[in-house]
Amino acid sequence: MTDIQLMQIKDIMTPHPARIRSDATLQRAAELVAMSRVTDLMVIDEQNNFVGVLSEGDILRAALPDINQIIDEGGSVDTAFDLFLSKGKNLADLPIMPLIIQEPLVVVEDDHIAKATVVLIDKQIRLLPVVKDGQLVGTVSRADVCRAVVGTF
Amino acid sequence: MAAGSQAGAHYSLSGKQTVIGRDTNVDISLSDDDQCSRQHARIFELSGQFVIEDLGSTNGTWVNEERITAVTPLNPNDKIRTGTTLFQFQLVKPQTAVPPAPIPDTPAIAIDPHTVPSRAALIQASETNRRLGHENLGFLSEEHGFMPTTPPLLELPPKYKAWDDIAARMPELYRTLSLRSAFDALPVLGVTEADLPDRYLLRASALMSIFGYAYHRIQPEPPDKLPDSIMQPWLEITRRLGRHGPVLSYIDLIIYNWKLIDPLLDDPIRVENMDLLVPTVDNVVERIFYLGQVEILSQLTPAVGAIVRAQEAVQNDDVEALKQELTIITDALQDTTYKSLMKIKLNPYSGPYYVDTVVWAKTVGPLAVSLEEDVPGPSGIASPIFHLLDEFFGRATYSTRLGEEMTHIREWYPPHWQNFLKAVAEVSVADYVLKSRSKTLKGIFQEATQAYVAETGFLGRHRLKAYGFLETAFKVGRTVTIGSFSGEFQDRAWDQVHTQLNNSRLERDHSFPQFFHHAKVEEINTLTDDGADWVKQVVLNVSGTGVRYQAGDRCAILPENSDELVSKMLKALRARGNEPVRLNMAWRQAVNYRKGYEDSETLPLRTLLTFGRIRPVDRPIAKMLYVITHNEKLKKIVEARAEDQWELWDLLALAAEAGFDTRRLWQAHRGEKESICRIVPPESFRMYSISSVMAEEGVKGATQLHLTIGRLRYDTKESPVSVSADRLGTSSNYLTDTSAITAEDMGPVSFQVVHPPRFSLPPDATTPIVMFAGGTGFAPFRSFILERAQQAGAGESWLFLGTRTPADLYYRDELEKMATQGKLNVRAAFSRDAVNLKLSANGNGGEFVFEPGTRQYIGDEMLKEENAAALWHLLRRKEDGGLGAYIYVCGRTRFATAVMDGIKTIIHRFTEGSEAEKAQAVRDELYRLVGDERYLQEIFTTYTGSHIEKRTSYDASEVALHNDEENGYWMIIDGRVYDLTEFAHLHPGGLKIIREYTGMDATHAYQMVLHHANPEIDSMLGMYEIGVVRRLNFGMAWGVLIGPNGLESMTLASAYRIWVRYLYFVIELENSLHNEFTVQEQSTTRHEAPDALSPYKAQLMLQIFKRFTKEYIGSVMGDPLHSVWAVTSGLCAPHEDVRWSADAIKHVEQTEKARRVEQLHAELATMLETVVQQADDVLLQQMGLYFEILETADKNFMRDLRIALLAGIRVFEEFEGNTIVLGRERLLTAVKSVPDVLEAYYTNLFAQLEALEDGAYPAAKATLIHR
Repeated sequence: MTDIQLMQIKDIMTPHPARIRSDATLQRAAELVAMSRVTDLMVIDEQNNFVGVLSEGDILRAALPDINQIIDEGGSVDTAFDLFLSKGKNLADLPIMPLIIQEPLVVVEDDHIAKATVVLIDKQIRLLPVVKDGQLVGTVSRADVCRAVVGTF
Repeated sequence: MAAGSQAGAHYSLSGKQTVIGRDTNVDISLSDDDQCSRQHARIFELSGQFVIEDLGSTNGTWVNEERITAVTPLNPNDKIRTGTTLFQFQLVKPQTAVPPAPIPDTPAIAIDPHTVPSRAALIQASETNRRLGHENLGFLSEEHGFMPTTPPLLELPPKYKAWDDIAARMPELYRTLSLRSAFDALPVLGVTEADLPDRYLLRASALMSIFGYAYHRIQPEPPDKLPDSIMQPWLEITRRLGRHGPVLSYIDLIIYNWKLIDPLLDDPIRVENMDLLVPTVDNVVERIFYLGQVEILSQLTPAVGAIVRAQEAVQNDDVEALKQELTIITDALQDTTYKSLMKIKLNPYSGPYYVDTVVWAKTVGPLAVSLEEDVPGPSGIASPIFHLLDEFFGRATYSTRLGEEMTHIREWYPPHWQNFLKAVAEVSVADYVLKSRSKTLKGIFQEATQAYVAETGFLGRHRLKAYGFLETAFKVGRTVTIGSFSGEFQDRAWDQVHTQLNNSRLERDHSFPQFFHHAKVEEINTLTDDGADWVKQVVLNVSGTGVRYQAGDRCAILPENSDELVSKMLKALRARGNEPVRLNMAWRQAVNYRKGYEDSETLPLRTLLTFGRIRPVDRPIAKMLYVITHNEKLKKIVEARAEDQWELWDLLALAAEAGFDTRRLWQAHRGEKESICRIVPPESFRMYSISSVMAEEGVKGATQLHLTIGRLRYDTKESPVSVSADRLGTSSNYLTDTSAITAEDMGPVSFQVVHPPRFSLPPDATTPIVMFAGGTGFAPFRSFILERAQQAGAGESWLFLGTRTPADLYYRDELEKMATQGKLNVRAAFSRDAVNLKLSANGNGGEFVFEPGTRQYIGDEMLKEENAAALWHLLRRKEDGGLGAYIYVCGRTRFATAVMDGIKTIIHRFTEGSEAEKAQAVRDELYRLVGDERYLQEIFTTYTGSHIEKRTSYDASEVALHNDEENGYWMIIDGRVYDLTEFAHLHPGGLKIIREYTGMDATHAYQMVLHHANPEIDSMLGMYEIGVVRRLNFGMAWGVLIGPNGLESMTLASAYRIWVRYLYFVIELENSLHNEFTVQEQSTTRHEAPDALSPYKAQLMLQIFKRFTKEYIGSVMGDPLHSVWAVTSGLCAPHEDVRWSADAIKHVEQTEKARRVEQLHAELATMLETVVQQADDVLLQQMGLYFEILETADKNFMRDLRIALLAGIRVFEEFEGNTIVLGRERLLTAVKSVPDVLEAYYTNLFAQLEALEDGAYPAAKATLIHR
């Protein structure tokens, strides 16, 4: 049975999530994503203030060519595929700043986990930042909730 | 301001007057414009029309670049120039409601203050009209309702002869396209009070408004402005009538636009006895369309007085009087629906009332489209009777688009109507009925409401008629309707209109209180029983319900499941039955129809199962059950579409065996997926023919209602996805299974009476009737026979019965009696017993005897020499020497097919000539029989067999080859394939609407008109089913393509759908084009030979060609092609450029030949101008040659494009999941051939045009060169 105490975010959150400085490059971000195996990186500034979220989906999306680029390069699927690779390479040195989701939806430690679940599902978010006084204190993932609510331990 | 120092600024003209000038203190100050005078011009309102006047400026005031010399009316988009500043004049919707028009000073009419408001308004109106000696303030009286008390005036005083004369010449002016020049030449006649007395005003209004609209609409390009000969008097008339602005109102176009052919006839206001006073094209369609509305309004006149009297009855608390008046309203509505509304026919074989939708769309429909956005048009909803009935029945909301339009229309109504409608709204009869304790009153009110709003009532029928018009209308190129819906072909604007019409019908339906009748089962009598099958008579006691019915009517019954079935379900659910189930929305609504369970929030499980839909298992339920259980066997069953081979309880048992806990279903919350509320939805109505006649007429209503019900039993076959079992239908057992309970123990039965549109006795009792009954199909005929027995001088009646044994002769005593009295000829075919039926005389008169004979079916009996000859004589039209009998068929699909085959064989036998001539005669005779509405079928579906039994399956590519007369008309509806070649000609809605959807999947269109929910039509379709659509399996193949925003993924199944959608789009346009061209074979203006080419018709043809080039080619060579190319190249050839298709089309369009063809439209338009100006008939005939070439080319283009696409579709059908691997080359070739089709079109057309101009008709070319 689920422990009746496990009802607030602070009970189930991951306290030390993967984080990245807002002045980092995309190459750094890509490495971090690969290493930490999370879908979204928490972005912080020099003072450790929470800045936003960088998702692996957005990094990949940035590498995918848009329709105008495809047309300029020849307009076929083959050229679009090549373009993806070259764009990806070029992304490495760019700052992550433009891809950061500013002012993302966040939760606080006292929030009920059901509240977090609603937004995780409604907005198709996979990882929610937990913020306290402007500082990042943890994250709640879908997996965290599943484990705590439906899981047996 | 369009140009000038403050360009872009808007100035409102709402004040008394608006002065424009260089001064700083004027309303619109143009201090920077030195070409502008200090006080340059002023704009003000005159008789509801904005006008402009120059105030003696130096440089003049210019309207549309013409210097004005007098007060000039302003029209929307007029350009006004003062100095160097340019304004554009626009009308915007008034923000506030327009106040009701004032009633001018008339002697006060004393009305008792206790009078019901509607009565007071009625007296006020009719008395004022009487004293004024005219009805300019609105027709309104108890005797004539909303119709004028005397027929409209035929002419104006002699000084207006020019107007009366030109009205008579309208069709000719249309035909020769000389309407505009004729009006330009007409003198301007004054219509002030001094010139024209008030009593002529309505005729003058009808003339001017129809002239105005006709002038505007006759040619596709609108005129710069209306000529003064129309505009000036029209403005004056508008002022005198107190209208908000110049308008073609419903009064002008319909109510005051008819004359009687023979005024001495009884009941003279009928379409056939009227002509239009101010016609435009004056073709049959225009006459029937407008005069039909006159007839409807006139026939509903009794409702006007009855409504006032009903409100008085409410005030006096007189229930009996109220019942009386409600009955009058019901009768008026039903009479109008079935005798007047249904008179407008869309089937060409229906004789003089045939309305061709294409002719309507091209020649009649466009006229009434408002010239300005805010002016309501004279659409059907402008008829005051809708407004009155809405107010009376208590319509609460007007929030749908049409509802808003109605509110708007009412602001333009004459004062008497506005006041009357407001007065009617003050007394709520609906509230009174709701509070009343009289069940009969409630029932009678329900009947009246249904007669108005139900799907089978006035509004429902009206909607179906309107759909037939609107759909064709949009497709053949009318992109605006009065209700201001607009859009191109792709937007499916007709569906929008249709949905709007239905929404507004539902809006009314929701406002009006709902009632359902409940009857007690009085008796159940066994008519025949052979152990396995039986037929029983169910007698319902309906006294006190207020229900009335006539022979042919049906009864909708809400069935209950038998205890036996419920027990099986309970067992499968592992429940006892007393478990409470909380109801979801659908159920809470549905239990209101069950007596004693109204407003229930919960039901015991047993009761829920009793009222629920368990049998047969519907496909969505089977799918839902699979989703919940993930049972492998269930998956196979669903995939094989074999769910109808099972019962819900066996499917549950199946799931339980595999470990699913069925208790989950009733333990689940009502909101959950598994909830029993969703697995067992509420049962819906089942229809039965009524087998009795009402004992007495009148307000009291019926006391008894008989049904004749046979046990529905069918076997399911043993197969991998089904088991062999004996199955029973729900409803037949519900009312008749007396083994467990007696009639006395049965609870109240929920029912409604439904009047079928056509299946009733002939209006003239002397007309002979022939009834074909298959088994229990005899049910409605008992009521026919009983009714005929009471009719004095009734014509011959024949009954052909097809059944199994003599024991199936239900109601044998009654039949024997009628037969002996010579009132009925009975013939029977017994399929199981080798006997023949004979009527033998005995001491008491006569009786049936059964002589040894042969086993036979209905067809054998029909074709016996003597019977065939009698039938031939009966079925032929009177004018052909026959008896013109009505033929009724009631039975299952197979029976109906056998009877129709028999009829065809008889026609064949008795006509002479070659085989081809005979075949033609069979078709003609049958089509006419149906067109006359003398061949009426009521076919009931019992169990038509499962999908798994169907062997014949067809591919879309094959169906797509059948969309013309030569190859037949096929259609896909709901996964089944139908050959509608014959039915297309029998369809009450006409061939054209069917034609629109042939060669393709028509499921959506079919459901839009609710045909799937209409057993009458749905079951008739069964006669034409030829197989099912083969299901293609594309597996999980997918690929990547370049979409509008970049790379995207797509499954092969979606790629196929994109191809098919393109194909169907092309087919739908092709069908529509064929329909469109039929306009040239019709008489478009009065006295025009159907096959003659008039300038007007030439203009219609030119519009078709122009639209084809500008819209059709653009759309079929546009987005759908590019989507198909993007998908195909992405999945099959990633190296290809996604822009190829667009480039290829652009390339073709830029060729010299393409440009030449495009230019042709301008050339032909110029030729037409010459034809009109010089009355050059030779040139007109030569234009006809161009038309022939163009028509053939356009039709061939659509066909070739369809064939090109079919090559691609076939690749999918051949390779299914392997399409990308094995079919890529062929698929690419197919898409790539599309631009070639366009190129070939231009090349061939170009060559033919060259040949034409170089060859036989140099004159045509000469004309072109000289321009």
